[in-house]
Amino acid sequence: MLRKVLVVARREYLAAVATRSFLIGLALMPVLMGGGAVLPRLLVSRPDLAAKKIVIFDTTGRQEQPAEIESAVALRFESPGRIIQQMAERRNQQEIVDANGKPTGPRYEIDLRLVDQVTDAMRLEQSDRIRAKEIYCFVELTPRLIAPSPPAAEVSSGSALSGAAFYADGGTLSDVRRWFDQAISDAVRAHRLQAAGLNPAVVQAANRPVIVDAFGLLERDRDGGIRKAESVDRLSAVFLPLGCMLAMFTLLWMTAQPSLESILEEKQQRISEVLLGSIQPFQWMWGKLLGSVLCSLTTLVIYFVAALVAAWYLDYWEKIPWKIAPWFVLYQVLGVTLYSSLFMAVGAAANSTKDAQALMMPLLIFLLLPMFVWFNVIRDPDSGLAVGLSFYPPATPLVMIARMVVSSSIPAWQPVATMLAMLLGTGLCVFAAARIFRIGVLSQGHTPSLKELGRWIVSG
Amino acid sequence: MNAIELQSVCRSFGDRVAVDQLDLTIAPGLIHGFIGPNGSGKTTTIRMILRVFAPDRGRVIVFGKEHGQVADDRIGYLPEERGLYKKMRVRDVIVFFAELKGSRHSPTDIDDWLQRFSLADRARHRVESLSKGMAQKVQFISAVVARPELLILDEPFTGLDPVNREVFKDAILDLKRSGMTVLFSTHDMSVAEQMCDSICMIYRGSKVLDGPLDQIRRQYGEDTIRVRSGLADSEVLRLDGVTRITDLGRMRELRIRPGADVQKILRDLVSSGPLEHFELGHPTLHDIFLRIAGNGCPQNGGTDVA
Repeated sequence: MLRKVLVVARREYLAAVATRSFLIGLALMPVLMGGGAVLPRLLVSRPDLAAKKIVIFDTTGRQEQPAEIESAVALRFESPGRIIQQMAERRNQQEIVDANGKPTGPRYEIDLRLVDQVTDAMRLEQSDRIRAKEIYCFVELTPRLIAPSPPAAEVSSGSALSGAAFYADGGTLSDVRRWFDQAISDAVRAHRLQAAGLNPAVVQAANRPVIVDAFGLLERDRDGGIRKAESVDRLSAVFLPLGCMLAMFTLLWMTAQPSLESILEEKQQRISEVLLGSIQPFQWMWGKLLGSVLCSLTTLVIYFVAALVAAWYLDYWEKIPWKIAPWFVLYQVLGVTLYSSLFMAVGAAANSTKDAQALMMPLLIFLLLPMFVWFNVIRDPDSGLAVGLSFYPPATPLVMIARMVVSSSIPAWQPVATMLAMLLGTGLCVFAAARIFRIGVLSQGHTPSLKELGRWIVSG
Repeated sequence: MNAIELQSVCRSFGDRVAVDQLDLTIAPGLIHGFIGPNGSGKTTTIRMILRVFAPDRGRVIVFGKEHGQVADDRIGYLPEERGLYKKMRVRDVIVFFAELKGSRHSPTDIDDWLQRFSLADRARHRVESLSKGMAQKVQFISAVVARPELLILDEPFTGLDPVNREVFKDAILDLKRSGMTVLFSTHDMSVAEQMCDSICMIYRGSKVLDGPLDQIRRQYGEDTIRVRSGLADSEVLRLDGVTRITDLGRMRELRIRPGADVQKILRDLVSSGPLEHFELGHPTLHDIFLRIAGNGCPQNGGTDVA
């Protein structure tokens, strides 16, 4: 019994590992998974340096001001447009040049126009200039911007305008737009503070936020002494659990997907019929699962060594969560068995890749569920959602690893209980998958419906 | 002890009856032909012998055991639907199947088989680089290399050229000489006729003929004459005692009624024109099958006396 399982496992392992595609997948998977984080940084390091020409129509100084600020604003202060222009000049001189004098961002060249009003004809003219690439955008600043508060009627109707408008061609999410949001806010705040007779520099100092230092929990060491709490930075709080979760996700899917392809190949190439003359379906399936687990552990070792080297090089050695390492391996082994058995069942039931994709769709919803709520789990690892998901076998490896990285106060019974739940879930999945597998591998030319699959599972 | 015993075995798939009340006994050390047209229930029966399927009713006894496990290591199986791992090397794939059967092989065995099938220089090649015929040889070696006591071959000659057919036939006959029991399923009755010691013919799930080949032939007697002459079919059919004529191409096969005067038929043929060939013999298995199956099976263009 075991001998045949081992023979199949060895073949599966070698077939998976001793291939070029395994090595390519090994290198590409982290790139794909980490690409979303790395690519924007790479792009930021190569910024667009072309100067942005911006037209500002400022009507704040020429309009009738509210009575309570009229005297102060009109007599004592620059218009917001002028302040923004000065801020842009300061930015061009100080903020977009690195220590070596190398530019790090585009210059903002402000064309300030102090006007009485802005007509649609003027807006159209500037819009055409944007289309002709003469300018990047134009901004309107109206007296409402410096009014103490918008009229009550407008607020209640939900139509209160900010008093500033930004016009650009698809630049809603651009850096210029974000800079203007901040610059206009700063300009108006300064304007209001001065109108109220306050020094903006003093107020800014008073408003400086306090960043609370976050720590984990204190605990006793082996000698009975008290071990100081470790500080928790952003890396530990978000990226480390997310990284562990993604690593687990990668390992599970990298192994499960080839399991489906392998069984489909055996069906399509009629190898299954030959194998059935030599081995029982259950032995065959367990052999393939064991091969998948070994392949997954090989991948883990390679990634783990790479992660250790990276942590040492980047000086993150102290951040490595050594205490969860054994749990990671245990959850990974069970997770690979669970996922691979499900994928193999789909492969056994399908007759083609297209069939397999159709059968995978309902399964994907259940398997991807934990990835939709990762932030909730990390933010509150002891919430009902996080604990509940920990007992949902397809989510257990992902959720428990993330929770264990974030929190050190998970009750000891939970890892054990989730392991048992997973063992039970895995056992049921393997049983159901083996039933499908047993009938499915001999069922050529017919893709079963979900109802038929259910019948195969029940009746065998 | 018989290698296989099937007693009143039935197996259905939904409404379709694949095997119906089948009795079969396979004695050890001989080549048994399990013949019948496509879809007659041969593969289903083989899968029940292999324990892949359980019968709905009846008993399947293999090597004296009724409740053995699927994939008994004493059974080698070459299925009709063949397949090999394309990315594996020839020698590795043979070793893999041998190990699944309990590693009862030695490297020398594999080398001998590769040599015999002219595959020695391909041992390190991947299966995907082989021709269809070569892959079929690898498949055959994989089925026999563990030296099973019972070898089940399902349509082993399909797709083979005449030269490789002979190589396979010789190999099967050698295995029989070494004491192996061979169950040989085919729809090609002429091949079965050449190689098998006994025959079981199955049609629409039911056994229609069973026994040693010589006995079956004796049972049907010498009622067949093969002739090559210039006489027209209509004139041959007018000869006294001839009941049916079948055109075989270069020859014609006449079936005569029991007790017909063969000498008179010969004289009539000689007197009617030049006679190049005259041979009195047993009916072929194919002919016997057609007689048994009657109108329910495909005919081969024969003409009966009106």
